[in-house]
Amino acid sequence: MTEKQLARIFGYGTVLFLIVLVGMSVDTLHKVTAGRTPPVTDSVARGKAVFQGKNCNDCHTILGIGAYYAPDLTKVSGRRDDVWMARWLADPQATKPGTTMPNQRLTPEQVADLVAFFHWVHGIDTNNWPPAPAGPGAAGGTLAAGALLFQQKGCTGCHVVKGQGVPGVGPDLSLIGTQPYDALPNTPEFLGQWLRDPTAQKPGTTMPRLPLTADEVDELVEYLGSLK
Amino acid sequence: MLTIKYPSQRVAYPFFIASAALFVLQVVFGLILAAQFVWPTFLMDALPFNVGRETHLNLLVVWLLLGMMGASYYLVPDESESELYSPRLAYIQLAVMLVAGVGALTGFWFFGMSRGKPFTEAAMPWPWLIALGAVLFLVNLGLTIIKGKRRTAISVVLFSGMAGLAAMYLINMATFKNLTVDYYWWWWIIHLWVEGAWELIAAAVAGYLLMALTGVERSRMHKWLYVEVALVLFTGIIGIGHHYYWIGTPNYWLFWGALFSVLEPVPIALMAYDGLVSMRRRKVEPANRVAWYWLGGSVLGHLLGAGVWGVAMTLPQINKWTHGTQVTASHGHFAFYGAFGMLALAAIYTMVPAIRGAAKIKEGRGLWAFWLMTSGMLAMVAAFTIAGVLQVYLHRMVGLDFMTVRTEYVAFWMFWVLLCGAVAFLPGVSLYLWDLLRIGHPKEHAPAL
Repeated sequence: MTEKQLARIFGYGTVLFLIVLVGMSVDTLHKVTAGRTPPVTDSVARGKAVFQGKNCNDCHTILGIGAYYAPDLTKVSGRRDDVWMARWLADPQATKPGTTMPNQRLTPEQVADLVAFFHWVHGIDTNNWPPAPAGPGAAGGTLAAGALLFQQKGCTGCHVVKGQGVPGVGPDLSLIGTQPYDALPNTPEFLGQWLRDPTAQKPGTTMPRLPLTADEVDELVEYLGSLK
Repeated sequence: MLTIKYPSQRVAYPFFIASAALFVLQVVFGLILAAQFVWPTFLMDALPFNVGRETHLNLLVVWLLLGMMGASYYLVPDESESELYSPRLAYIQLAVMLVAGVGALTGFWFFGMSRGKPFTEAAMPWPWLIALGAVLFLVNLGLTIIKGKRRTAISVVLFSGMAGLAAMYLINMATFKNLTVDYYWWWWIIHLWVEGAWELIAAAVAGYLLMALTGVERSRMHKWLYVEVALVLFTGIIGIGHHYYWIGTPNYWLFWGALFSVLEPVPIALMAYDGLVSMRRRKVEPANRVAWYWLGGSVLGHLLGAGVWGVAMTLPQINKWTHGTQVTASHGHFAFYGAFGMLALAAIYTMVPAIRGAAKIKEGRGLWAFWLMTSGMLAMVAAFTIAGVLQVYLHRMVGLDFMTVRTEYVAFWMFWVLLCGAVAFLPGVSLYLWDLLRIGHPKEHAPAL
């Protein structure tokens, strides 16, 4: 083949593939706005502007894109309740002393918009990404499942158990099975209630309400009770 | 290729110096980021991680761009058999780019100005100034090609790549309220840059260097070039789909993205084959071994960093675990260094001695720089890869908390990134900058015959 013919194949072929990409883009963008993402409200749009204006994406990932320095925020609304998230965004140090998350000096409106934005992102159809990790049952037995859940739910981000975890935020739970903390009971019944709704047991606590199933609460309570 | 044919080719030199200085700065910021993984409070108030990272990413783009722009100003007059249309315009363009760069960095560091998407964080109005710089460059290059005596495949492909780069960057001027839509278009910039336009530029520069350093026939090189760049774009354009698996885009991208992505290494392998065959069957011995090493390194680095490391995580079945982890960082570092960085340095080490009229150069410093940088980068890539695989297993598969894995497991391997970067890569890139200021200096080298 001559150089001229090859040049033509390069030129026409490129145009052809670009046309195909444009066609797929038209269809993709239609589907994205027609159901794969929730409707964008004004608050969500403002929240996105705050997220990008503060350059959160160069520490966190969102939709898996960004830096790998801080947790992915795609499904953060499923991990943290709104009250805790708002408090965290407004003043990270007050919620978790010693955290490296900087205080972005957000106004209450900006905090509310960011929370709305994270809810919106949570609603995106991401083709089931991020994948669910191996189930706690894979660890074998309720006690082992509870120990794994303790890790999976990020409890070690605030609590220390037997020297593992981040000290100084929540209490050291190494002996929670025998030694109550902060004059609160350590019975299985109370620990279950505490995990289901910490604020109801102690108003103003910085402990977040985690989205736990009944089985997960039981497994965590059994694990905590074993820490002696 | 010991001397330049056209005085206007000298325009390339200040581009190379600016590029090398920004490269050093980029590495310094990279090391600070690695240190912050190990000691999270290190410089936390003076330089938060996100500010350091946007600096690191943007300096990468700018030093590579300035290096390739300098190489273009050198090779297009040679290819077109004509002086550059306007050397003065080239200097103005460099000044515009540098002002835009300083403006963007000042915005990052002192005013918290950011547009919040990696690689394209520069806040307004600096993107407009960058675009102006790109237009001035394209006008200068285009008019040189048009008024030249010869229009070769190399200058046509190079110009197409640079025009594509500028065209995609214009998308950056738009804003979208929907995050998925925003990232959909953002990938047109990032992917169609690195797996489209940048590949065209790299193929053209590599073709030129292979001819310059090996004496391979022009007609053969031109045919190879068209075959390679055609395959790059035919696979890479729809290959953008591997970025559309998980961001809210329809699930048909899982199939089309995977299908075209696994084909993307084919043209890269062809380029590597072509490059290595040309180097082995050379008709002339290379004028300096430093350029030769960088060229050979870029052939292999392109194949491994972009090809192998890229394809390893491109299938959705694997990508769903590796997406958003340090595995991506390992590919990013390896591919940018191997495919584009090493090639830019090959061009610079070929062109600067010619600009200086040096028949031979002292090779010691340049070879030390090559080995320090390359061994440092390979070690860093290994550490990133191990950190990424650990993260995939412990965080994604077992489900341990992200911060637990980062602080207790990833940090250890980031220490190795820091160590290898500090003892090998940074000294290497500093030596390169020093060498660039010295090579071809009359006191050190004999003039060209």
